[in-house]
Amino acid sequence: MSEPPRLSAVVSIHNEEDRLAACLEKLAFADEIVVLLDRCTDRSLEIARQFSDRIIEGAWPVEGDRRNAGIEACAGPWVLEVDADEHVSPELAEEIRSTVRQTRSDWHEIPVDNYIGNRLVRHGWGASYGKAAYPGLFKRDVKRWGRQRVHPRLEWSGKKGDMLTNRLAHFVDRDISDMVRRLDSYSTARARDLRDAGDIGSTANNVRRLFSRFIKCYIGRRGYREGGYGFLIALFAGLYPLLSHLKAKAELD
Amino acid sequence: MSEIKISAALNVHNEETNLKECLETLGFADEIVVILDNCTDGSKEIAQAFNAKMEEGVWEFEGERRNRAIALASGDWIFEIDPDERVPAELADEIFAKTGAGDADFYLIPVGNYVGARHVRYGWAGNFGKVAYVGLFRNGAKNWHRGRVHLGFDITGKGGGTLSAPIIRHLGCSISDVLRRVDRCTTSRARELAELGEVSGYAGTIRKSLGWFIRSYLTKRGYREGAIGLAIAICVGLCPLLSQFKAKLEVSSSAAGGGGQ
Repeated sequence: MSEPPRLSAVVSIHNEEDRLAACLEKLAFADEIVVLLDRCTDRSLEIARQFSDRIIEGAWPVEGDRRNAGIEACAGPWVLEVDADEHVSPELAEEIRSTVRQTRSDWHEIPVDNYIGNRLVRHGWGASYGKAAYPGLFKRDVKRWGRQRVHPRLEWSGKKGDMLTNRLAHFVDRDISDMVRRLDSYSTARARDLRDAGDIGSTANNVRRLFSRFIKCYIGRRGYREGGYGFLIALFAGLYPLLSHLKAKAELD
Repeated sequence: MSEIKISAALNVHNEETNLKECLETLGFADEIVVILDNCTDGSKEIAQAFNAKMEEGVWEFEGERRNRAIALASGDWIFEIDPDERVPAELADEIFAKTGAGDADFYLIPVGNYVGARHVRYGWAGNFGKVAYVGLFRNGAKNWHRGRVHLGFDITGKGGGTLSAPIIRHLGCSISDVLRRVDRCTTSRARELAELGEVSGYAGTIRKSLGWFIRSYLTKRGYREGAIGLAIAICVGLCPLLSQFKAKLEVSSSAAGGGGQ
């Protein structure tokens, strides 16, 4: 009998004392749990110690650097990357274990169920404001995060496999205020990226994107089926590039 | 010097970052009344340092809280001000002159709205960015209605028009601060809407939001302010939308199944 390939679960966080335990306790099926603590000043470290085999503390101003550091810290060869606001169900855990035993591919996407508060909102996500699926299960050396401040891009090597069938529960926002705060913090960070890049785009084009992104989420991804939340998700997805652009521009004015 | 006494009245809920700068501009007043509503920060110590007449407590309704400040004031005239506002010297002089002359019973104070160092003149619409308010009145002339945010009031006596020097109002340092303010205001407003049974349908709310956006950006000429004008118009437009959606999706649905749909 050969040993099954080892699986590392990695979570990188910044001050998540409220949500961390609920996330980590569902990762016990992995062979090791790696927690990366980015400038945490709350009880996150204490909580991580109860669950984790490997804790790395430090300061990573760029999200991509932080995520790459987390991946590099994994013993591997397989890595499951989750966030503090995500929960792995026992069914998904079982599917992940069997996938790493049997697969001939290098990475797999995991479908996501996004919750706002306790409400499952299945439709309307996308346009980089929420995720319907994400490449969360991969061999350690095939995934690299880019250095953008929000929504860092991914560089892949290796072969993509089938999407898993069980869904990861993503508690994306506690309420509408959380959605507004996320729109605010994403667009502030994005504005900084735009200024750094030296090209903030045109207002007219970003107004057009508001409409095209709204339509993509509300109609294309059927956000209309989710009632008020679907409308808000589509609206915020549309507002995100425009607000980023306006924040960048207002500081230049 | 006149014998006429002026009280400055303000309501404070955790405003330690704003309060000192505000109180520093109230040297013209004979008395400062500060209502500390559910304050857990250093607001009280700051008010103490200015010898303010204080009352601490928890007020459910902003109208009642504002009335309480007025009731505590002993001056002949009352000047209402919020912690995010500052009185420049010209306005203080004008308040002094008007109350001394005593030609009227109440006056409107014009408001200069600032985001960071930028004076944003255009685009204020809806209840979000006030451009003038009944802020100077004889003791007893103004009485607030119950309500959480942006509530109404009764005023009696003879109006003396709008003063010429504006009060300086700081909406925050950035577009982020303005958006956070929208979030806070709409959360309070949602509770009020649910309580009053004024939660309306999605279509009407979306139309109203578009209307407010257009009013801010076009009618009130927000377009003249460039990027920040458009950002403020978006914030103005978001106010009814977020208030109603929060009321419908969060307040009503959590309160024993009442309201909604």
